[in-house]
Amino acid sequence: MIDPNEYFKSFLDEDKPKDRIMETLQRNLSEGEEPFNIIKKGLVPALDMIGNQFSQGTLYIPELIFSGKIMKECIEWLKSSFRFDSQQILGTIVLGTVKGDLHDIGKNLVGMIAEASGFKVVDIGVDVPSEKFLDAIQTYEPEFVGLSALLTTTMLEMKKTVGLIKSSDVKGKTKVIVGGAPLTETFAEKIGADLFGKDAVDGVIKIKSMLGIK
Amino acid sequence: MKLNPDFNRVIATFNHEEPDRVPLGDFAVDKEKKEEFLGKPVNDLKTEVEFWYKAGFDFVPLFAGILEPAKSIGKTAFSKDEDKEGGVREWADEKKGLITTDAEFEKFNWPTPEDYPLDKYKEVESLLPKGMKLCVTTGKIYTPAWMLMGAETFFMAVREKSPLVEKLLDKIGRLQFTIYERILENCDVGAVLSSDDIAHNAGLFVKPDFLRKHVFPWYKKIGDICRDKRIPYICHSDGKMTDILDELIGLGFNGIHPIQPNVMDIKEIKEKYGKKLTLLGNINLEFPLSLGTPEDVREEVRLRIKEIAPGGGYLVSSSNSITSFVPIENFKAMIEAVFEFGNYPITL
Repeated sequence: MIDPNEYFKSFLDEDKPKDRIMETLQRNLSEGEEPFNIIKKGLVPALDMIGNQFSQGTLYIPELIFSGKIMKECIEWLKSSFRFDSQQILGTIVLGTVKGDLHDIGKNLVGMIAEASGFKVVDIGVDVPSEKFLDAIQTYEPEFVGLSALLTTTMLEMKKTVGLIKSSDVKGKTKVIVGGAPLTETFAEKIGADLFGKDAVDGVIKIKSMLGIK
Repeated sequence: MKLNPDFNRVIATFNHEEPDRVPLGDFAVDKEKKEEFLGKPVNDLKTEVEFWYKAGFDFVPLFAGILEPAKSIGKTAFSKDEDKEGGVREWADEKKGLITTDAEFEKFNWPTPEDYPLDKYKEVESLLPKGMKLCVTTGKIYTPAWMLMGAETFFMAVREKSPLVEKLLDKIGRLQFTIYERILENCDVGAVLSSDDIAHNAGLFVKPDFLRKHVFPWYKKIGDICRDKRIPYICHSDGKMTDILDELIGLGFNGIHPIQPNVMDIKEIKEKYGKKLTLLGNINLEFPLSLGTPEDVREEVRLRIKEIAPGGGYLVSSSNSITSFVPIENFKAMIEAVFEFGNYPITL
């Protein structure tokens, strides 16, 4: 039986978290569970639990980064060992840090959690000009584009990028989510973004919610 | 605006008494903003002191020890800062830093306490206008560690309980403490700001137990010296610090800075901690300081003084620092509003 709590506890195991997770995963497989169901009903809800506690300040960045990395490894292992249907991808997200800003750890966290949750993530890097965001949207046709900024100055660059996207022909097809330490919900609304992620976990939850994914 | 610096004003505030006026409490202003304020280059300690005096402060803050490892120790990333003519910003590497193995730790060209002489502190002491004091910014223990390892490498190492992390924090802690102790023993320091960003907007970066074991003991050692010398000891960290305020008081801190308004409620903190903590900061760097008008800044300072300053225990400061992108008119509006509205008794 797939129990997300068991995966949650394994992620947080102090001594041998990787071993614990693989043991649970192998046992579920031997019980006849489908690999995709293990991801959907076990690993993803467990990571959501970690993410929620992180947002509440009761779990910390080392646990979040570690869990995301292990989760990715598990999914890659399952994918390499079993056939997966590409339609099981929840959607595509293009991510980048806006021009003038080189910080990418926040963006990487979003990417890691989104990927672990079943999204295809296209990371276009840091210091990304508005035009490059638009090019990436036209190339990958994502459901969402995520803009990250850590600096007050680059918040203004974000406004420019959102404006360019919203005035282009991709408007309506690709939603925009913004995030980063200095941002607020009010600022996100003011610059015309569709969503504001107050942290990496909150961002992915809101994307899933807007796409109607539980 | 009549300049009348008096560090006793700061001390009275920390004693939760009402001095003549609410003091200013920023400890960091970007160089280009100081130069814009003075209208001339700030390239020596004389002009540095002149800036803090003319900006209405009662103290001159100086950094101590390894404060900007990204700059002083090596690996950096650069980006063009379009706010500054031809300027660049420097960042520590966020992935793989300079020290990720024991071999790199051993090979690293570590500075020694002798690389941080006391000359600049002594010189500032000799330059201080009457009434002003020297304050020192210390405390960087956690920050240099992640900057040297690279953020992602550091966080993974913390999760995997790598002995290298412990070794690194111990090395940095010993080095920094030796430098700080020497300054505090040999210079006439008015207050100490321990500046180490240990929190993000939802809470601490790492488990409190980790900080209790590897970082807080160093804070306490400085706190013990401040207590013996009866000087204010202020904890600076960006982010949400609400959950560990009791613990910080236990380490000897009697002030907290910069109380980011988007994640900490200064009124709640004032109500809960009363005379146990002096509050510095909370004038929002994003809005109004960077993106608002001078009138917006004036109103925010007026409100904050009205709500928090009665009874002492509050110094007006930005919720981070005065960065290069804060319009000079807004910085001046903050200072002028303190002189206009901050006179005790507060009758706003």
